[in-house]
Amino acid sequence: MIIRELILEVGELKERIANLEKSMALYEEETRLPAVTENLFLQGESYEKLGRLYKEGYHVCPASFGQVRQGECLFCIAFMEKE
Amino acid sequence: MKFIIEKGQLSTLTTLVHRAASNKATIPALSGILIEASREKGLTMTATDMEIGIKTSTEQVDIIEEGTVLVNAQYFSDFIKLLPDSPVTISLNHETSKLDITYGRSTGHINIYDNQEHPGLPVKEALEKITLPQKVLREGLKKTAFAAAHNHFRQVFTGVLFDILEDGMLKIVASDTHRLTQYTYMLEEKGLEPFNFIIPIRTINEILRVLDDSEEKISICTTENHVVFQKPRFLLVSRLIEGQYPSYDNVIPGTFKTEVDIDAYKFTTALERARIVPADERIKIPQIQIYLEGQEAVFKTYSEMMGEIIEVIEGVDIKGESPFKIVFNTNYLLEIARIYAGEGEKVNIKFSGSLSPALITNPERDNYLYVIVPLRTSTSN
Repeated sequence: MIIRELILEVGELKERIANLEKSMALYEEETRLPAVTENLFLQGESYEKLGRLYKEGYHVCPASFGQVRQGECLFCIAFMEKE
Repeated sequence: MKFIIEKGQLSTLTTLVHRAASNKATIPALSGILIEASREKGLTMTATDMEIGIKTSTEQVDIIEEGTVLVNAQYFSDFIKLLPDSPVTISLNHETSKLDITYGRSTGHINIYDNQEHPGLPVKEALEKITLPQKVLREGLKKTAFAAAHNHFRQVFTGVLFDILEDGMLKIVASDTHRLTQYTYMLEEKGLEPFNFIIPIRTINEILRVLDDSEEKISICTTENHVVFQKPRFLLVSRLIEGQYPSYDNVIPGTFKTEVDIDAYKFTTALERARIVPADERIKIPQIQIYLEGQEAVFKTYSEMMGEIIEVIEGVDIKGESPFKIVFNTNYLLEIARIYAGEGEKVNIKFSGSLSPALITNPERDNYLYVIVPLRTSTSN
C-alpha cells in the first residue's frame, strides 16, 4: 500500500512539475517577447550576424537559439528567410 | 480467481499489454500485469510504467471465480507465448500465493505481487476529444512518425504533433529539424476549439501496433498532461510531451525555382542502390547528388572506399531553372521515397534553391507532404 501511495504521489509531483515548467515557459516567453519582437525587424548587419552564427554551427531559430547545431536546420533556414 | 481461456486469446492480450510494463525492477508493481477476472467484464489486463499504460480485455473467457492478481509482465508473457495451442486454466492458489497456469497435464506456478500496489491508469476527465477511423490514424502516423528525432535537446522533436485547427482540420506533424512531415485529415467533429498536443514516439509505436486498416473508429482524448486512445476493449494512456511545438507552417516552402515529376518506382530503386554506398568516414552522412537537366535526372553517389554509382533516369518532366544541382542525405530521401513507391506513379519535387528546403508531394494526393533540407557541401557555396 505504501508503495502504491508513493507511486501516486510521484505521479502527482510529476504533474505539478510539468505545470510549473509550463508556467515558467509562459513567463519566460512573456519576458522574452520584446527581444523577439525586436528580432523580427532585424535588418542588414543583424541579419548578417544571424547568418554568420548559423554558419559557425549554432541554431538561430527561436526554438533552439544558441544551441550547437548538428547539420542543417529547417527552422533556422525558415527563420532567416523570413528576415 | 480462476478462469479458462484459449491460449491464442490469452497470448493476444498479454502481447498487447506487457510492453507498457516497466522493465526496471525498482518498483515491482510497475513491472507487472494486473489481471482482473470478472463475470460482468470478462478478463481484463492492465500494465503501466507511469509514462504509458495499456488496458485491454476479452469476453471470450470462462470465468469460474472472480478475482484480481498482479504478476511480473515479462515472465508471464514469455511463458504464455510458448504454451501449446490448447485451453489454459489460470487460478490463484491461496495456499501457496502463486498463480497456477495449467495446460493439459502440465502446470506452471508463477509468483505474484501485491495487487494493491498497482497504481492503475491515470485516466482523468477528458478536456478534448476527436474521433477518426483507425485506417486514417494508421496512415497518418506511418507517413509522419519516422521523421521525429530519436534524441534531441528539444524534447518536442522526439514526438509527433497533433494540431487541430479551427475548421476541424487535423494536422499530424513530425520533424527532427532536418526534415518535416505533415499529414492532414478533415475531422468529422464540428465546432472544435483549436488545440494541440505532442505524443512521444514510443507511444506512437505502441498505438501503431494495435491499429488496423478498418473503418472502425478510435477516439483520442486529452487531459492536461495525458492522451488517451480508446477503441472497443482497448485503452492506451500516455504522458504528453510538454512544450510548444515551433511554428511549422513557416518551414514549408512556398516559392520554387525548379520542379520535377519523376517516376516513383525508378526514384525509389535508384535510391535503394545508392544507399549501399557507404558514407564518407569524415562526414558520416550518406549523400546523394541530384542533377537535373533537359529531360534527365542524374543521381550520383560516391565513396572513397567503394567507388561510385551514377544513375540516369530518363523522361523526367523538369520545369523552371535548369540545369539544377542539389545534395541530400540518402537515408532521408529514401525513407520518403519508400512511402511514395506504393502510393502512385509519380513523385513531385519542388526546389527553391540548392541550399533551400525542397518540398516533396504526391501529384495524385494532396493530404501529405515532406520538406527536406539539402546538405551543404564544399561545392554548394
